[in-house]
Amino acid sequence: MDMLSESEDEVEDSSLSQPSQLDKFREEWHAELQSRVPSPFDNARSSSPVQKPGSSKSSTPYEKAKELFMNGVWAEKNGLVYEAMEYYRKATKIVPDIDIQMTALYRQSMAQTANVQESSETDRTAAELSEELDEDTDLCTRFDQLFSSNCNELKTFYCSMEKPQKSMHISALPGEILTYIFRWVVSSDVDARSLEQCAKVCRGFYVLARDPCIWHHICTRTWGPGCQSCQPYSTWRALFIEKPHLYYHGVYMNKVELFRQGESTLERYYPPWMKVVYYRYLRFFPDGVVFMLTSSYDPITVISQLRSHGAQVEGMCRGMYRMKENQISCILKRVKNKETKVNQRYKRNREEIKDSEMTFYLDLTLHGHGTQPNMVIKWEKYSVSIYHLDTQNESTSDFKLTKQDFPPFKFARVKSYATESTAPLSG
Amino acid sequence: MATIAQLKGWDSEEVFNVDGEILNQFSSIKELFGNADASNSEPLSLPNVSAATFQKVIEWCKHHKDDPSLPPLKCNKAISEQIKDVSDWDREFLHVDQKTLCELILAAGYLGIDGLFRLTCKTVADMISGTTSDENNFQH
Repeated sequence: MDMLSESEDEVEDSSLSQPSQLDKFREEWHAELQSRVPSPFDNARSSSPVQKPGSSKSSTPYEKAKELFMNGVWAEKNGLVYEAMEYYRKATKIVPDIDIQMTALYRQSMAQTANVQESSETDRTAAELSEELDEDTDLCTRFDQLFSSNCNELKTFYCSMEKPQKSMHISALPGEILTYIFRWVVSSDVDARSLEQCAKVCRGFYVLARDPCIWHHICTRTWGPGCQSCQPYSTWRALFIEKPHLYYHGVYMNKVELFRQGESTLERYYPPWMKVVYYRYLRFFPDGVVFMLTSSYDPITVISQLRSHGAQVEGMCRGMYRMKENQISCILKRVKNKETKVNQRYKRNREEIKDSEMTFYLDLTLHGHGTQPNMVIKWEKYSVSIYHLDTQNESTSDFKLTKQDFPPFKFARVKSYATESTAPLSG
Repeated sequence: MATIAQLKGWDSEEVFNVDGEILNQFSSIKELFGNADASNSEPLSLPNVSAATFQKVIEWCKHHKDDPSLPPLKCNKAISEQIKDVSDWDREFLHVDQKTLCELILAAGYLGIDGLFRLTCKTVADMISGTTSDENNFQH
């Protein structure tokens, strides 16, 4: 009810010119109501806890509320805002959530009548209706209806200004352009988080950001074109949220600490011990590329260097990964830097590596952390195979995955990864 | 090149003489003029573009007239829509307030300048992404 009343002033001036549409609309409503009285949907609703006690036993008050609400809708459509308010108030007194129920009914009738028009979206609409109790979908349909009621005007504005401004506002952009901008927001790096942030801004953005087309693209980008249907979930968005997937807007990192005895000094009683701290980073990209880097430098300096595909960091391993459910397998090779400034100390080691090639095989699993999904990556298997160029021999050895040396990776979001996009999201 | 089209924004009488090289970038309206000599006809008023914005658009087109033409927007291929890196000139050009940016998007969309449209949309998206909803609200 509150949503509808908010929109009244917008509806008021636009609807008077549409008498034929109105009549048709009313006829549809009545036909819909008469045919729908004992439907299972109503039963489900009337048993909801929000309903006033007693109304679930006899349908009379509910019917009355419906009638009042209908009158309210009619009045509102005819520009009689105050009468409409009165009707709505009466209706909500009888059944508090009458507006939600009526919206659901309205959507149902619209889906039935407009089946032909949106044949491609029928599945989604049907799925949405079957999930009416899902609060999230409900909100979307409600907003959607709000905007469709404004569609009588030539232009549909998806949002309005909070404060009156002289200059042009983002709301002046039509929906198609906003959707296109949102595709840039998500970008080829599948930054779903930014999209969700957009959805929080206002109702119009919410509707646009829940566009199933965008979420379908997000899913195909994440799991490849084999992703044909969002079953068993109701929407593509639900699929994306529920199914394990890696995050691309940050790095998975862990910190290894160990103590090592230092060189003995003149001090005999307190031999020095060194605390060695290093970090291991995993950076995933949507197109199957993964970077692994072990570095003792401060994370802040390292992480910014791992931003792009073409990153070249000293000692970095680059490779591909593949995901199946929550299992991740990666194959990585060390990136050869042409001009590396290696400390004299390590130079000897490096020369040895030169005539052998190392390939790392990682088996990992993705886990949630508390309520947050996909936050932790645990080690399952880690092996390295060394191919000696001179002897043509290959030797493989497994690392012993101790908890101390191989703690699980934790996800850390990196803001700078999302600041610039190179391509919009596309399927 | 000779002037082949005379255009003006909706909000002023200032007439812009547009030559063929630039007109070619206005994919949605270039057919209007064809090869006809437009110098003696009435200047065409652009309903959705203000004079100040049009000035900016022309500035951009002049700078980018030698760019290789972009594949059509609806191509649905990721590669065709990629913007690898934004040149310093473009960055400076788009260092404007939101109002101008919105007007540029509308103008670019209306005139069918794919390159500018892509660039401006990307710029807005970069402004949006990475911010929280509160910051976005503020920007509104």
